Amino acid sequence: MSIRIVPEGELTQAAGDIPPLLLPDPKTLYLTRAQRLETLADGHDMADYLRFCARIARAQHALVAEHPLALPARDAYFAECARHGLPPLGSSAWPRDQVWQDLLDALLGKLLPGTTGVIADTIMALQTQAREDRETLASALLAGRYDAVSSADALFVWAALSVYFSQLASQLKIHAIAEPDESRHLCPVCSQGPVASVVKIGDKDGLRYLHCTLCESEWHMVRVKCSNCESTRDIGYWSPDDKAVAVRAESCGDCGSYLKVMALGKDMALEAVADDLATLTLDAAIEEEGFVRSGINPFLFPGS
Amino acid sequence: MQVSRRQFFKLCGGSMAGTTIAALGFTPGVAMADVRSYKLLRASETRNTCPYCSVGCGILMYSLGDGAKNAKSDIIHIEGDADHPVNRGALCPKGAGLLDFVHSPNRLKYPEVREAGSTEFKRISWDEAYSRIARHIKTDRDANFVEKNADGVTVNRWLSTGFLAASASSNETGWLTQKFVRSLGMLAVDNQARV
Repeated sequence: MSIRIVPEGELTQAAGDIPPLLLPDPKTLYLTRAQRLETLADGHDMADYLRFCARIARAQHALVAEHPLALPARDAYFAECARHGLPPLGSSAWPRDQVWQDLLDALLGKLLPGTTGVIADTIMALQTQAREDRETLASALLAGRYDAVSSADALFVWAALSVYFSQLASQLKIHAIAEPDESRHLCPVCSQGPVASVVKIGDKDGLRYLHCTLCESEWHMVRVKCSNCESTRDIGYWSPDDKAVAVRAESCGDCGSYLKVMALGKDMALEAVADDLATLTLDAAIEEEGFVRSGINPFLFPGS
Repeated sequence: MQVSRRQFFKLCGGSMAGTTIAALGFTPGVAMADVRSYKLLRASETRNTCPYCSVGCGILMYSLGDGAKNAKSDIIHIEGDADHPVNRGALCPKGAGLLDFVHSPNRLKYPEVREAGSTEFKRISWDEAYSRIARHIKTDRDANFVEKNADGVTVNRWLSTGFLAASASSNETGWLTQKFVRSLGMLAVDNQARV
């Protein structure tokens, strides 16, 4: 089922319905991510990289506090999106404000001190790059043309874009309606793909939500179903030799892809982006089984 | 079903060359070296309907073994299906105990008969079971079938035998149950497996 977004007040949800969409809370999510990355880094084979990503997430958290964004009053635009069933912040179509570039500059400024070598070079190069060029990088990334952007640049550009889009997403005045067709492979808010899916606890116990890799929204998808092609025929759950593991890879025998699914019930502290990044060994192992990944992690862009 | 909707990525091949980690000078090599000592386990989750009663709660059954590699499949966990409109993940105590029901050593796995006067059950073949059941049905129906009531009106009913069908049956099974039961003139039929 796809998720259709309409202005708030147009329709209300019946009691007991599964909420199709959970909007992000940028004021807390980057901090939670940073703390989780720091926890996971202890004794981890990739500790240095996880700690570096924790620094980025902490900088993103600070940006949200220091550069609060207001959702532009584009009521006509949103109404038009709703009328055609399009995502309100469809990241390629949405007219980006220059403010995301200010966010990028602020982010780079926070990260530069204490860095050396390639990282420092990458940050400084981005700082001096013309705004039009950085706009081109952003457009390429949002359009999924990852080969057009170096994977090092992509990390920082995407981190700034995420702070921009998550703040806008958090302020949308909308209702999400579950539609009876099958198209939930992309984020209903910004049309990017998911990083992983999370099986919730509490009042959403047992429900699975896909986590957007850009705007950090979460949208519902029925479990035991391929999140890419929506087949249910040959779904496998792969894990290290341990039945109680929280992070597993969900593979599909029809489209040959996989994405991780994480059970909060097994580990209440897990966070989609952090735990995905900290379980790269599982990616390597499932690649050996012949499956390919159907989503990016915002801290790990593919080689160009 | 559309086969390819999102982009696909291979991240880990070639020591992750070109990815953000490598491009920024970090070494994912250590994490990747683990792969050789990494034993992957494949599990499945299968939707089903609880067999106990006619509420028909949705369940998810977790099993190990992919069926293809001579591995013995085994159900390791059963829980309510949170996506199911009937029970939204909840199960009653009987449903919550399904795993023990599946693995129960007392589970009936083949037909058995206790002959009149005997205290022992003995195992019989399915063919023999079907023949005996058919014989009992025929004998009882021949003896008790009511063709006309006291007023001479044709009723064609058989009141001395009832039929207990399964609760988690498909629509087609329900159709077959109805055809079989009503064509014999049987009136007592229940689809509730609460006994």
